[in-house]
Amino acid sequence: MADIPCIYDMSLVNEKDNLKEDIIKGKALEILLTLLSGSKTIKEIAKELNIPSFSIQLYVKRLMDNNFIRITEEKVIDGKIEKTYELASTDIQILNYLRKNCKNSDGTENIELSAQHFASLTREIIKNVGKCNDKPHKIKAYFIKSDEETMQRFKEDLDKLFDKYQALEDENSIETYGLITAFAPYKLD
Amino acid sequence: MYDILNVYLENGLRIIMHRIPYAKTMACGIWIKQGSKYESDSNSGLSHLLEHLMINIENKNNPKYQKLINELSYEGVIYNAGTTKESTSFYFSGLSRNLEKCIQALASIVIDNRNFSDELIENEKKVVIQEAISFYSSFNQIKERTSQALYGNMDIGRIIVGSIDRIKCATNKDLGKIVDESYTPENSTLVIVGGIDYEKTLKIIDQNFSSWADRETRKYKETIEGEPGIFFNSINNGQNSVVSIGFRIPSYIDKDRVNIEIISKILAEPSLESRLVQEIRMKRGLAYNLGGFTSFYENRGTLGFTVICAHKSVNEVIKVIMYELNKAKEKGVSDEEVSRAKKIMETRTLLDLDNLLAQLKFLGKCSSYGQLFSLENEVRKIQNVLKENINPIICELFNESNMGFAAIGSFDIDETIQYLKIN
Repeated sequence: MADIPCIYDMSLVNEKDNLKEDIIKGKALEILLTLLSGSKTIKEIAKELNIPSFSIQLYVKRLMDNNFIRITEEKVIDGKIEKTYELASTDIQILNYLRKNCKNSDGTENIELSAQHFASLTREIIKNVGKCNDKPHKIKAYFIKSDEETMQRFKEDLDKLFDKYQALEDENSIETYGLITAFAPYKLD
Repeated sequence: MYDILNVYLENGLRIIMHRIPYAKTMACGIWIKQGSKYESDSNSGLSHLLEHLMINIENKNNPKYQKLINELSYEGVIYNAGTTKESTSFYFSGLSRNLEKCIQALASIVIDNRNFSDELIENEKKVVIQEAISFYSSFNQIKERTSQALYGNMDIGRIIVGSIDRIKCATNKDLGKIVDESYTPENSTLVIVGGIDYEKTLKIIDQNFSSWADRETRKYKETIEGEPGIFFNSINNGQNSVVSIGFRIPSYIDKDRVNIEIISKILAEPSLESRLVQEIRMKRGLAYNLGGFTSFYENRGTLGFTVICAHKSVNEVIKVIMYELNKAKEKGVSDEEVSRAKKIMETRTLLDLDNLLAQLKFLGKCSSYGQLFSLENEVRKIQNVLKENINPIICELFNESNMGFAAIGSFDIDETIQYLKIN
């Protein structure tokens, strides 16, 4: 008697469609963010994220299947295949952003930032990039070498830009767009 | 004393003979280095299909073989064949007086079978596809899936029964290509054990195999995935999932092979004393079917720990396995555990010594790796295992950079892999 239905498919990872939908769950988002700083091998991603290579391969498979990343180089070193991955398209640029509104017990509106909220909100937005490719979208990370004064002006410009479009908000609109920012000093070792 | 004669014919065929004094029976077989390892996506599963066709007594294009098989069957000779990742073998066992005909039949299989009728191919395809469907519908596939996860869908990661779609469209030409490129004398080893006379047997071999044309064998360059990976199929049928935590290990000829087998036995021998059986089955009742396995190949191998359990128990099972692997790494194994594992292995090896077919297969495997081992020597190696040598190997093996994961079933894989951590 058969234990399971026959597996005809020869691929290494075969998940049900409902699992495929949430392609940036787990470590996938972290892998995407890791690839922002340039193309990397599985071994390099694993080392950077401190998780085993086999786990990385599950998420890499999902990201490949959904055209988020692609193989940029494949070489054989001492009989072992080493693939290098990069973000699939320059159109998909990752903009780090978080704005989380929540009501405090006294009813005032506050902004609560946390890494977890950042991750979950970003995940939701990036998922929709794949689903609604024809709608306006932009995903990108910017790293700028500059002085504090210039960056202060940049922040003020950003605030003005946000205020401008916030003022144009149509509360009756069916569509809601998300924009998440994280802007702070960043050190690249 | 264990005597083995190793001879080469002029055409490059290697012959291994092992005489067992006073034995009235014999076993003989031929090993060709052709299995799923040497296949590609374009001929996946055809080594196995070819094996079925080669030994098929319905092959009307080879009446000589048909006649020999009829005569041997009448004498009660048992014959069979097998395909592994690295070799295809054909073998006979029976009374020593049937040796000459058996050698003739083996020669006819590899020399005369160059063409199969379309009818025979189509019929055997159905049989092989049915065998493949049974395999791919069974939890037994988890061992091969573990190697697939560890090394990729290539080399020893390839599944022996191969691609059902590819088998369906196999042609005589596809099969002939494998025969031409791999069924060559220099790529084969003839093994004979039992009550035999070396000189007489060698003469018979020469008479039957010297006409086998010396041809060049296909070249093969071993290539595997750089890093161990994952096999996961989220099938939702039934009550159970199967999981396997695997590790890349050294080859069959590596000095640590016996030690690694001991480690596998201590941790997951399906007897009631092993650590995982104690913790998963006896204490927690999480699974009935679990165990450890080792698969050693010419240049690398697989160590795996497999469990069939309810979907909802997968994470608990994984946590227990990882706890035990980390504990073994931290605290090592005990003298008593080593002693018990050694006894189990010694008994099984000695039982094989009394089994001609087991001896034949052992010599066939070793010789196709270019090695000459004896089962007596295996016993000696087992007896010489020391706990002091095992603990450092555990530390070296149980490492995340060596680890892969294979699973079939219905559970949250994203959650499960979080528990697969080695300290």
